[in-house]
Amino acid sequence: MFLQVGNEKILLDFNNGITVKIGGPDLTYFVECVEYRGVDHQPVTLESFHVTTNCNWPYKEFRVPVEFYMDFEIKIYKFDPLYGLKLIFSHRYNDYDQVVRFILETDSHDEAKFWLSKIKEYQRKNYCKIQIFSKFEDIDMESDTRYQTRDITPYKTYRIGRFPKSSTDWKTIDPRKEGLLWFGYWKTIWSYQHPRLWKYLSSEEIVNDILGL
Amino acid sequence: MSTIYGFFGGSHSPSTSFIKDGEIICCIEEERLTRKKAGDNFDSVAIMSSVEVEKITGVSITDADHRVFVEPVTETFANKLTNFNYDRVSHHDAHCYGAYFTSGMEGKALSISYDGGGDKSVMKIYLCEDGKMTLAHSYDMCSTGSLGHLWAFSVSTIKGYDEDGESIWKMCKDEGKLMGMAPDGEYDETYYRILNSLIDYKDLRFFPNDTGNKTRFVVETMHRLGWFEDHKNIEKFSYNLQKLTEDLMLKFFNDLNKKFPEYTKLCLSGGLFANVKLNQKINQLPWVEEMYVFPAMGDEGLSLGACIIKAHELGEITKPIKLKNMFFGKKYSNRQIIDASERYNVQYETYNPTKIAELLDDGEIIGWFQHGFEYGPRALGARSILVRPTDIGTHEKLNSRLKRHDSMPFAPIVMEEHFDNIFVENKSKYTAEFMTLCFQTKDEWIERIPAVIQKSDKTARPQLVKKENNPMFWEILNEYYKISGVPVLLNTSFNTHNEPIIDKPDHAFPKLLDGTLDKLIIGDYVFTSRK
Repeated sequence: MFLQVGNEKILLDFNNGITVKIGGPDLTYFVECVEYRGVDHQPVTLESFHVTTNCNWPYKEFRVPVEFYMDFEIKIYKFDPLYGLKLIFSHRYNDYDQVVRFILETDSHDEAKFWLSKIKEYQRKNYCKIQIFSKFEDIDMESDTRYQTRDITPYKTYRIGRFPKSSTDWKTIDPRKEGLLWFGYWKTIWSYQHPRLWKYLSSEEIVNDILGL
Repeated sequence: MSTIYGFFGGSHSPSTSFIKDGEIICCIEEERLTRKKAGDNFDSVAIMSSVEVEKITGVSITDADHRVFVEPVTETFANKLTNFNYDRVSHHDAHCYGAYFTSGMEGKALSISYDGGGDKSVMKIYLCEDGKMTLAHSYDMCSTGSLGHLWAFSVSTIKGYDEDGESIWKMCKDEGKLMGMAPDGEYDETYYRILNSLIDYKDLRFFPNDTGNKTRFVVETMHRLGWFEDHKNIEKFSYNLQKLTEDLMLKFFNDLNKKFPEYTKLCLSGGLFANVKLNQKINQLPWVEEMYVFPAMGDEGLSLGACIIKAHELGEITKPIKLKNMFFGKKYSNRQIIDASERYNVQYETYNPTKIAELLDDGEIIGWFQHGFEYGPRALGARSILVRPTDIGTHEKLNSRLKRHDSMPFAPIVMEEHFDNIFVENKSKYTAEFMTLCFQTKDEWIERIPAVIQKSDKTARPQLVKKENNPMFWEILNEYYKISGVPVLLNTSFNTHNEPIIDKPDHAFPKLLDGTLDKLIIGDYVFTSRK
């Protein structure tokens, strides 16, 4: 999703985690990803750092490797010599009327069908347009057909499935990290993605965790 | 009755403490042994201090009744050290318990900790009464602004980076340098507004969150754009940073008083309260009856806090005690001192306080080494350097000898009996025994002790010396008073630029030989260079 805000050009992409790119007259911009957790709480910072527009140091783009559902907001700031830290753009995750892609990673038709029912539940909750890719044509046909093409860039992509048995990802092998994702040095956050040890999750728990149902 | 080890080794400022039967026996900061200051040594653990405490107490870690680690815990270290047998306590609980149970306060008191964050909190507020503590507020680190981080990240970016990418000034180490510049700066609406864009306060909450990264972005950008090429602008930045800190914290404390009006005594801990000017402003609030800042207010104090939590849980510390001193570090016998001296080209004679007072009056710089070394950031009469306070030129002379470049004034030590004659505020004198807040100097003393007064605002950071708590330190003050009519001496920490306060005689003698000191008093002896 490309946007132009004043002199700044912004790219937001939620299809492989969260990616933000900025182009503009300033050398650096500060990007923050915050999560809202309930009605009366202040948002919690998940990740923040500054990105440079014309070189790779320290970071050319902002990335947060979160692929599960969360109520998050991207905020972009610049330094204003009169006011200090100035918010120039914010975008809160909202897939209302947007195309959302679901990639189902299972060989079981029954499981894919069950996950489809959960995707429909997600759709009823969020009013998005769903686009499904699986190993089963009848499941894929449940997409809002106008959007059943890989050529368009969806607003968000969810991959629903399990880590392979050969995975060495720390989330799959370290029981002490069960339910936790770490960002930065001090920040500990809960996630919807495998908040319990993945190998003991049921099919329903997996899909609920990833879609935040 | 029990033996309890407390450890902190999570990120910076590791330390080990030991309590036996409710009595504090030993507290050692790792930096005193590694000889690297906290800000130069992130990610270290309390390995050397734990071994040292075992040696001193004669109780091995595994044989002790309890072992307590403060969050965040470096698990591999903790497991190895304790054979997987230890308890964990919260970071801010350790701060708050440490402060309250060493405050000596009776009746109702608030214990408040505030820093850059430890485990999941950035601040906690406890309601305390007669040995009972009840948590009133805990502020989540991910959603609360931190004035501690505003300072830490300002310090680590304002001077830029060296060729290796290391910051010139270090967080957890150089905050005092930035604070010391504040009186030389001036109010500037733009600087204040820029800093205020990073943190604000309302209704008992500091916001927005993530102050550290935001501060780094803004101050780094200002540095890159050349804002700090003129040293005057760093002073201006410092002034406005200090002013914003005081403005927000005073609003916070006044709101706290509205919410808990019956609590007029304060126990403070956490790195932010190393800011002695801020502490002075809090102490000056009319509703504050008494305040106490835990002498090891930063994370170095957590290991003792951990021991206190456990001792309280076991019923071995039930009421707040008063500390007589902070000399909980390694001690050296006269035999060890003499043995060490033989490795250096020095001669010695027996200590005579009258004679030393005369030398001080003549302007000599005297090294002072007694007891176990101090726990916490201040030199309080165990590893100190003493000089007369009456000469304005002392500042330059001392900085030159100690290879320091600080603009901070040096601190005075003052006989208890004369404290009220010299300073305006006459409350919170217990915390003044540990040099943790500034006091306003009375007009008639400003010209008499210029070396220990901040010239722009006429404040000083005194240590009140009681005869019963440190008789030898009191005696030298008294002898100097008899000669000069001034019951004050200048006391600065026994270390040179960028090194921690010294530990052993072998750290002290070279300072005599290289001309830093004119005389060195260790134990019962006065050493002089033979050169």
